[in-house]
Amino acid sequence: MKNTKLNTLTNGIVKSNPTFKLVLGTCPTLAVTTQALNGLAMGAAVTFVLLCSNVMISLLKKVIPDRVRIPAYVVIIATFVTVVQMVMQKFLPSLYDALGVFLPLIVVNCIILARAEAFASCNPVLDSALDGIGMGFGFTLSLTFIGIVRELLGAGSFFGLPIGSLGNVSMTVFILPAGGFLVYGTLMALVNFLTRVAENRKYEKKSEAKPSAEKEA
Amino acid sequence: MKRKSLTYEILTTALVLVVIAGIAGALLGLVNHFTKVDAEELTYRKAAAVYDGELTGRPIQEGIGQAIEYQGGRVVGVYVPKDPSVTDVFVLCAEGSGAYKGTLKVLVNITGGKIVSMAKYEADETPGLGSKALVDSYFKQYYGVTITPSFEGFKVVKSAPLSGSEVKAVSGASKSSTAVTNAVNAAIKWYQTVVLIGGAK
Repeated sequence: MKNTKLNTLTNGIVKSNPTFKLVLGTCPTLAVTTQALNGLAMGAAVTFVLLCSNVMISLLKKVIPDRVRIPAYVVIIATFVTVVQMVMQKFLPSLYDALGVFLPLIVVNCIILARAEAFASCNPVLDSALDGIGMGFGFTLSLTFIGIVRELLGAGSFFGLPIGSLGNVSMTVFILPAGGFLVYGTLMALVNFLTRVAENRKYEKKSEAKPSAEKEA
Repeated sequence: MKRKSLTYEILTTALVLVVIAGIAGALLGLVNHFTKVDAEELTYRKAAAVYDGELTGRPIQEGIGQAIEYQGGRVVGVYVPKDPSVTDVFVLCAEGSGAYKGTLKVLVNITGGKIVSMAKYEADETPGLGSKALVDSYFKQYYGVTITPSFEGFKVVKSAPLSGSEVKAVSGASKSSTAVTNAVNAAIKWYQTVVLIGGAK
C-alpha cells in the first residue's frame, strides 16, 4: 500500500515525466526556459495549480455531471491559475513580467487537464494530491534543468549570476526559440537513453536472479 | 417520465456549474481583496527604484507635466519630489518604440541636468537577451552626460562608443537598445523644453 503511494508520487519525476517522457506542456517549456529562474517559477506555479485542481476535482468527482466535466474542470483550473497570477503580480512583479502571457495560459496546459481527466477524476483525494505533487515536481525539475542549460550556453550565467567571462563566449542562439528546441531535444534523448540503460540493468539483474533461484530449488 | 428526468438532469447540471462558478468567483474576490495592486501605488513603488524619497505625480499636459514626443519616444509621466525644498529633480516615465515586442517604458531620473539613475518600468523583452538592455549595467552608459539645450540625444552604435553621446547596443538586442534610447531621448527633450528653455523647477 505504501509502495503504491510512493509510486504515485515518484511516477511524474522520472517514469512519466511530463516534459521528457509524456512530452506535454511543450509550449511553455520552450517559451519560458530562457532563464533558469523563469523555468523554476513556471514549474512552481504549475505544481500549485496541479495540486489544488487535482484535490478539488477528486473531491467533486461524484458531484460533477459527466457531460459537463470538462467545462467544470476548466473553471476549477482557471480559478487556481488566477489566484497564482494575482499573488505573483502582488509579491513577485518581476517574475510576473518575465512569465508574461504563459502564466494565464496554464489554464489550457495539457498536463493539468490530462491529470484531471485521467487521474484525479477516478482516484481518491490523497492519491490525486500525490500525483499532482509528483507531476508538478517533475515538470519543475525539467524546466529548471532546461533553463540552466540554455542560460549557461546562451547568456553565460547561472540563475542570473554571471559566471566569470563565460558571457563573452555565450551563444545567443540558445536563448532564441531554435536553441530551445535544440536543448529540449538533446536533453530528451539523454534522459530517455539513461532511463533505458537503467531499465535494462534492472531487467538483467532480475533475469540473473531467476535461474539461480531455480537452481537452488 | 423520460421528459421529467431530462429536465431534472439539465437543471442539476446547470445548478452544479452555477455553484462551482459561484464558489470560484467568491474565492477570486477574496484573493483579489488581499492582492489588489493599485496602479498609482505600483508607479510610485517602481519610481522608488530611481529616487530615494517620496515622489508626487504631475499630470501630463498641465504645467510641468506637458507631453513630449520625440523620435520614437514620448514622456508619459512626470514625478517630482514631495519635498518642495528639493529642486531640479525629475523622474520621468518615458516610452520608447521599436522594441522587439512593440514598446517599452523606462523611468529616468534627471537630477541637476544629468541622468543619474534609470529603471525598467514596463517591458516584455526576451529574458536573457532584450532584458539585458533593461538593467543597470546597460543604463550606466546614459549616466553623467550633462544635458544642454543643444544636446541632440544619444545614438546607438554596434561598435565601441567614440563619444559620450554614443551607447553600445546589447549584442543581439539592438531593437531593445534602440527602444530604450528612444525613451531616454524623449526624456532629454522634455527636460530641454520644460526645464532648460521653459524654466520649470
